[in-house]
Order: sequence, then C-alpha cells, then structure tokens
Amino acid sequence: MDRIRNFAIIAHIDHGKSTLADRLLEVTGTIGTRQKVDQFLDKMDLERERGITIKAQTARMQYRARDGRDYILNLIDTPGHVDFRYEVSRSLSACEGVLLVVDAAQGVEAQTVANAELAVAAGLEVIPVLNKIDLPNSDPERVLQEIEDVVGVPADGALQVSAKTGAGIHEVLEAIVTRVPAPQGDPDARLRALVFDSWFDPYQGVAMLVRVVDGSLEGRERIRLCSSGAEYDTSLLGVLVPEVQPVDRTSAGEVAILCASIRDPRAVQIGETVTAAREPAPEPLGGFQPVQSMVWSGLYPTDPGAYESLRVAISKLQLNDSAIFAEPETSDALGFGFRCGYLGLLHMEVTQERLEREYRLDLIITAPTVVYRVKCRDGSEVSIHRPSDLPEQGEIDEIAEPVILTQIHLPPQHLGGVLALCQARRGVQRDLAVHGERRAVLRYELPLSEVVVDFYDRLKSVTRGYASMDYELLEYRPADLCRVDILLNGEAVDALSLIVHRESAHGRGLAVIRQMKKHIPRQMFDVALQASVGSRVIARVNVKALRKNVTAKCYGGDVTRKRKLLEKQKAGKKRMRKVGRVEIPQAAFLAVLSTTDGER
Amino acid sequence: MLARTRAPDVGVYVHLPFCERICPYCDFAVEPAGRLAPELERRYLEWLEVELDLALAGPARPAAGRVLRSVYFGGGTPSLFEPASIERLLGTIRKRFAGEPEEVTLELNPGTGEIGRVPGFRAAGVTRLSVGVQSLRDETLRKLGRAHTAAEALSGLEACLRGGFESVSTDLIFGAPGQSESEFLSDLERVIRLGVPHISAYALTIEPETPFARARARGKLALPDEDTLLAAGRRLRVGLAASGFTQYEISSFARPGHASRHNQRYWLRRDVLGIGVGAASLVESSRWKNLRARSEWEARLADGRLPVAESESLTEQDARRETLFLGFRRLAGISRAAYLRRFAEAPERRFGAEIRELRELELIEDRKGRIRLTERGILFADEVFLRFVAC
Ligand SMILES: Nc1nc2c(ncn2[C@@H]2O[C@H](COP(=O)(O)OP(=O)(O)OP(=O)(O)O)[C@@H](O)[C@H]2O)c(=O)[nH]1
Ligand SMILES: C[S@@+](CC[C@H](N)C(=O)[O-])C[C@H]1O[C@@H](n2cnc3c(N)ncnc32)[C@H](O)[C@@H]1O
Ligand code: SF4
Ligand SMILES: [Mg+2]
Repeated sequence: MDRIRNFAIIAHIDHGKSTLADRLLEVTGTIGTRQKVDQFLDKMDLERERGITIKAQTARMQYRARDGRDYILNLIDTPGHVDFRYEVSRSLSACEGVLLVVDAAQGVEAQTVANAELAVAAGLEVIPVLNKIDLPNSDPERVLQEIEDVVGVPADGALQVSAKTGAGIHEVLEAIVTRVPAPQGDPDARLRALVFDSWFDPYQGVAMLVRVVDGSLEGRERIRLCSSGAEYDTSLLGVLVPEVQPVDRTSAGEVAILCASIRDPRAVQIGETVTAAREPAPEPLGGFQPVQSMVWSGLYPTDPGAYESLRVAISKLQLNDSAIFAEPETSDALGFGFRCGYLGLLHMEVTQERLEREYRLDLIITAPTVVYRVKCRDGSEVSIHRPSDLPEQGEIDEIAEPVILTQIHLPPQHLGGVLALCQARRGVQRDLAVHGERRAVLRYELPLSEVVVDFYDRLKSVTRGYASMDYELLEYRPADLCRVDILLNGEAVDALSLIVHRESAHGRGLAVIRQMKKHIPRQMFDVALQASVGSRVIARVNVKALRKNVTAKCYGGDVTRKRKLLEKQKAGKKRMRKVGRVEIPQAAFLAVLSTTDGER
Repeated sequence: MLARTRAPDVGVYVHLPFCERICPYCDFAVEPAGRLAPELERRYLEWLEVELDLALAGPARPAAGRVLRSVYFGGGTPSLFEPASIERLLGTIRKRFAGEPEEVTLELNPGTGEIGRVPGFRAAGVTRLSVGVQSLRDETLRKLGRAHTAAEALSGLEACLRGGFESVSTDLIFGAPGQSESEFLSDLERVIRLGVPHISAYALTIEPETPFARARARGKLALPDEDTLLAAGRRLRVGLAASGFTQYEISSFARPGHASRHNQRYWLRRDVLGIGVGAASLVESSRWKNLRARSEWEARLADGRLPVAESESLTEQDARRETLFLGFRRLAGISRAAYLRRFAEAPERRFGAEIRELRELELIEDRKGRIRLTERGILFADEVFLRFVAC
C-alpha cells in the first residue's frame, strides 16, 4: 500500500488539467505516443467539441521513482466548470492529494479557490502547480503571491511546468510520490469499497468505479450492496490504464472498476458501499452529500411516443451523472415528460445533448427556472418547481426566491461595469477585496433567477472575458414576483410560463414573445403570441401566415431527388413540437434565455 | 393477379448536357460548350448508344421491345445538336422498341444559331418543341444570364410555331430578379397572343451552390417579395384559364390536346428509361440515376458498365407513397379506381390520418372518384406532398 498514490488534478476551467494529464500518461508510458490525441481523457465527443472536461476520468500509471522503486499512481482528471463541481468532490474521496493547477498567465480564478477549498476541507495534500510557463505573458511571481493571498495555500512548494512543452513533468511525478501520502486502510478488515462513479455498459450492465477503503476483493467474489442488501456475482474486476485491464484482486487503497451483471441502472447509487457477501462489513462508509439542483426545466420527447425511451435513457444517464434529478411530470401542451434539476445551465445543455446523442433522442427542453417557495393565505407552504404550478394571485401570501452568494474575480479596472450589472440584477453587495493591481474579489448577494438567465455572458462581456465567478446557495428571500403566461392563439401554454419580478414583467414578456417570433416558422395560418399577467394581456406580436409553400420547379424524372428534399423538409418539421395546431421548434421554448438587458 | 388496363409501354428520356453558357440559377447536369464542337457531339452520341444497349441488357431489360410512347430530348440545350444527330439517335432508339412514338419533344433555346435548325428538327421526327423563352424583357434575360435577347426569343418562337409541329411549348420563369408582376403578365399575354398552345411557368427556385444562391447569401440578389409572387401566380392561372388553357399540372398549362404526354408519365409513374449524364429512370420497381459528371459517365461506359450513381428497388409501400405525392401534382389528382386497381386497397388504408388532416386543412378534396388539390392546396402543394414521403 505504501507504493500507491491516489491524486486528482483540479483547477479553474481551461487552466490545463487535461493537458497535464496527457503528459503524465505519456511520461509514464501509460499511453504510447502513437495513441496520442490532445486531452486523451476527454473521451466524449461533446468534450472534444467543446474543449472542456465534463466527466472526471481515471487512469492508473506505473512509475519508477528516483528512489528506484516502482509506484502505482492513480490519476483522476476533473472538470473545471462550476456546473460539474460535484464530479470534483466525489473524485476527491478516492484521493490523498491533489495537483492544484493554476494558469501562470491568468492567475488564480474563482474555481481555483472553490476547488482548493474542497481539497483542503477533505484534508488532502495540496500541491500547487503553475502551468503554461511557456507563455510569454506568464508571471509566476505574481501568481505565486496570489496563491498565498487569495487561495490561502502555501506556495513555497509550488512546481512550475508547461503541460504543452513537457517542461517540469518529472518533478510533478516525484512530488506525487514524495508529498502525497500513501493511502491508509486495513487490508485485512472486511471489504468496504466506495462507489464514486458509475456508468451503464451495454454488455456488462452497471459499471462501478470504486475506491477500496478496507479489505480486499477477489475477481470472482459475490458482492453485496450495503444500502439495499442486494447481492451479485462479480463479472469483471479491473483497473483503468486507461482502458479496462482485468485483475484478479484489489485491496485497500486501490481504485478499481467493478461489474456484476447489474441490468437495472437504478440498483446502484453513487456513494454506495460495496462489501463482500460472505463476510459483510457491519457499517457502510459515509457516502456523499446529496446535490442540490439549482435550476429546473421540463424535458419532453419531440415525438410523444418516445416517452418510454426517454425514461430509460434518463435512468442510465443518471448512473453516470448523479447530479441530474428527474421526476415525471405532465404538461397540457407537451404531454408526458420529466421535470429535471441541474447544477446550472451548462449542465442542463450537456444533459440534453448527451441524451440526444448517446440515446438517439430528439428532445424539447423548456425554459429553466429556479425553485420558489410560496406561502399561501391558508397557511400552507409549497415549493414551486415550474412556473405554471404557481397558485392564483389571490391565494398567495408571499413568494420567496433563492438568493446566492456570488464570488467574482476580476481585474479592478472593470469594477464599475460589474457593479452596475449586479445592481441591475437586484444584487446586494457583501464586500470587496483588492489583491494587488491585477485582482479584485467582489462578493454579491444575487437572486439566483437573475443569474441563471444570461448573467455569466454579460459578466464576461463587461470585463472583456477577464472575470470568473463561483457561487453557493445562501437563503430564500421574499420578493415581489409574478407569473407571466405566454399564449399561443389565445391559449396559455403551460410549458412557456415564467416567474419574474413584477417590475420587469412587461419588458420580459415582450422580450420573450419577440424572441419566440424569431424562431417560430411561418405556418399556414396567423399565429398570435401574447404575454399576460393574470387575465391582463401585457404584450402581443404576430407571426404572419405563410401564403404559399410550393417548389414547382421541373425536376424531370428525378423523383428521388424531389423525394429526398421532401423527406428533409419533413424531418425538420418532426423536430418541432405541435402545440395545438402550431409547430414550435426547440429554440422557441428557450426564448426566455436570450432575453438580454438591452431588451428589458 | 392485379389486372393492368394498359399493356406495359415505355418512354425514353435523353439528356443532352451541353449549353452555350451556364445560367446562374441552373443546377441541372450541364456543362458549358459554346457552340458544341462536332467531335464532342459525335462522341457523346456514341456513348449514348452504348448506354442504351447496356441498360436494355441490364435493369431496363423488362422494357426492351415494349411499345415506345414518347421520347424527350432534354437538357442542357438539345438544340445545340445537329438535326442529323437527333435523327440518328431517334432511329437508334426506335429500333429497340415497338410502335411509333406519339410525341417526340426537344428542348430548344431561342438563340439565332438554333432557330435555323427548326425545320431540320421537324424533318428528323421531332413533333413537339419546348422553347426556353423564360422572359421577353432584355433586362430580365440579362439578369437571368440567358444567351438570347427578347427579340430573338419572339422571332424564334414564331418560327417554331410556323414549323409544322404538333405542339409547341414555352417555358417562362416568374419571380426573376427585378421582375415585376406586370412585366411577367405582359410576357404571358404576348406568348398567348402568338398562339402558343402549351405554357410551363416556373417560379424561380434558388438552388443551393448556384451563383444565385451565393449572390443571395451576400445580399446581392433582389428577388420579388412573396406578395408579388402570389399575385403573379394567381393572375397567371386566371389569365390562362380565360384564354382556354387548362392547368393540368402545378406548373403546366395546355390548350385541349396539348398536354405533354411524356411529362405526365412521371406523375403517373409510368416507366421511363433515361440515358445520358444525370438521367433518371423508372422501370417496374427500380429507380436509378446516372452519374452527373460526363468524364465519370464515359469512363464507366468505356469499362462496359452502366454509369449508375444510385439505384433503389421500390417496395409496394414506396410505390403507394410515390403514387400519391406524384399524383397530386396533376390537378386531376389521383383516380381512386386506378389506385384500387393497382394496390387492391383504398388510399385511406395506409394514409387515412394524412388524408383526413389534409382534408381538414382544406388542401385536398374528393371529386368524382378522384382526390385532388384544392385551390389552396395548389399554393401549399409541398405541405401535401410531405405527408406522403417516409420518415
Ligand atoms: N501554452 C500552453 N497552453 C496550454 C498548456 N496547458 C494547456 N494549454 C492549453 O490550454 C487549453 C485548455 O487546456 P485543457 O487541458 O483542456 O484545460 P482543462 O483545465 O482540462 O479544462 P476543463 O477540463 O474544461 O476545465 C488548451 O487549449 C491547451 O492546449 C501549457 O502548458 N502551455
Ligand atoms: C431542364 S430546363 C432546360 C431548358 C433549356 N435549357 C432552357 O434553360 O431554356 C427546363 C426549364 O426549367 C426551368 N428552370 C431551370 N432552372 C430553374 C430554376 N432554378 N428555378 C425555376 N425554374 C428553372 C426553366 O424554365 C427551363 O426552361
Ligand atoms: S440553358 Fe437551361 S439547362 Fe442550360 S444552363 Fe441555362 S437553364 Fe440550365
Ligand atoms: Mg479538462
């Protein structure tokens, strides 16, 4: 066990975690240079297209250290974006140390601080690594100072590397061996292994990534899940190098992948303790804090007949992403679907895309909303997960909305713009700290609903891309809110309602229907779009009827060509959802998102 | 088991891909060839003959020896070919089939060079000319990139009408850049007054990857708005009806007895063997389409193989779909009796929901044993066709 080191790479987004992982895998010979692709561990197409890590990934490396001994290093590459924070905290449970990567040019950013705090709270060894020292504008001196001042981690042992050129990589490996503690745990005790990640494999069923905390596990052993007591025969025990390599046995301190022909994706929960059926451990491990969803939206199949496929797809995806919450809901306009909770908008987008790609579904996602708490006149209290559930005005005593504490890192010269933005979003300033000429940390209390829409984009544009932010939920506060309904040809569409501050009701209602107008194609009849509060119509626009639709060009005998054109047109229509007689594309359901301040 | 009322017959389409220059809206299989070098003309003819025999020994075998109903020389600009070439081709084709074709059409561009050949084409056995007039305004012809002037088009058309053909058709384009409704209507009126018995009027379609598509993307193509197009389309139908024309297909109008037999074969799903680059064929339950690039087409033939780019074998359900989405192009619509004869079931059997919906939308109607487009359906024909394609 003293030859094992388990560590994670954590950082702010884009500071080079995955690239550093590439170099470590190469230098240790884990992947040959022939297999070389950038960000090797970003396996999903979606990750490659977007250039970000979404899922944490594990790889086991062999390394002969300068002390002449061979070590097993378990690396976990984690995502940097706030929305995938839960991936980081779970990964840390399988580690004794972290590499805290900081971009030597950009310096400390919001997620540097937030992720470092997670590592410190978990009691892990933190090794600061300045990356990108090859960049001409890198400034290690300043950034080291920031690590001490802003993150509050001693920076004297910081390493300086370039994940791009490979400079300093051996020092990183040595630091892992000498500074990260070896795992502890009793190899002779009864088996306890913590499931910290899982996914659904079409052949093996549920695959579990476990950290063996105590005891050991044999390749053909019968296992038991502590929470349910269910038992299964192990069908595969292996390590990720990074592809699966079967092993006969794994014991305390190690990370392993375990399959047991479990076909029901709901049988295993993240944080589950696996023990041996012949000698079960008396006490399970601690597990994980449940996640708290920040935003909620409806998820519906474009083709109402695909509901069952969607249900199965969600439960399989949940196995791989335990931060998705889902419960069935029905909508008058959209039929059967799910109300889903996410950690943020990127998380929502990624979930939709993964469902569409990995499970070949076509989905309609409704505008995201936060959860409101409503006190009714009759004394009852309800949580509102979708705007159309808001009780009638007359029944409401008080509506409270979630408020977050936001931490914004920015260059001080942009303070003016950021303060104005926060003010416009009904913010209350908490405090402001300036660290040198380059960095200010501003803390603001903001209604979550005001941040969900397009706050981050606006923040980036106000600071020319130089700000970063992080947030945590603070409390619920009463506010003067009301529901705006959107009507299509006179009929309110439940899936389109939104809850807004009363003062911005008119502006937001108008902005939403104008945006929808841009997305709804002209149909064979006029489409009237209205926004209303209660029974009062506050804004209205029209989508004029299409007057003709015929391409009468002569195609001669080329019937196949004409048919293919028609099929394409038809497929386009199928991706729209019919509400009443009106065909609505996905983009129109999200019109509320593109509401910019200019239109308010 | 299913009795067919007609003995199987066939039409032949011959694609002649050469044009003096290429119009910026065109996406047919064409290549610029100036006045068409005799050597190129001869070579293309020879390959056509090779293809004809290969096809008749291959997928078109069931059509060999059938009664030949119609021949269509389309393009491209077939009138760039010498009458002697057309005569030779027609002779070769007729030898492979039985009977006497009722209609032999040739597309002709009304440029000076071509007009001199009109008597020759008649003598070669052409019975019908389709004259690519497009517009009678120089300004518009120029914007369309046409090789002829309005005056040439007019005198050319007159020469064709005097040429002793059984029928003459004129192609007109509406919705051309800068073209007003009144301009189009005055073109139409002049064509009617000349006594042309068949008119095809096409709304300009901007095809992807053509110079027009690129110009439009750059905001450099001013096209008439929807209201103008709609009004032009409506006045076109009213004006032609008043002059004794029947709209027998969405873009085709004819005086009695002048409807194109060959083109109707497509809408009625009757077999047509197509030869030449890019040509499409339907023989029994097979559809295939040739390579569009002449070099590849020739290379395949030189190799003794058919120059087919794609082919498919149609199922009965495909045939039902086609019967409906092609059949609706004809304003007479689909004969219920014919459908029943062919498929031993009513159209509603497989497409009940679609037909019901279209009827509710008032896009189609039932009339005297036929289902057909309504007035509104003519404007939204794509909506109707869509319902019958797969996916
Ligand atoms: N110049 C330079 N560029 C680097 C270096 N390391 C990483 N990069 C670049 O920085 C960008 C982000 O790198 P990633 O490795 O994807 O960053 P990440 O931290 O994994 O990002 P997330 O997983 O999305 O949080 C890429 O364009 C890399 O090529 C370095 O040492 N020098
Ligand atoms: C196969 S073309 C060949 C006829 C001849 N070469 C000519 O252009 O005059 C037949 C007709 O299709 C029409 N056509 C061609 N391209 C078109 C387009 N992009 N939109 C609408 N009609 C088109 C023209 O009216 C043309 O006369
Ligand atoms: S003359 Fe006809 S076939 Fe030739 S390029 Fe012009 S439109 Fe196309
Ligand atoms: Mg990454």
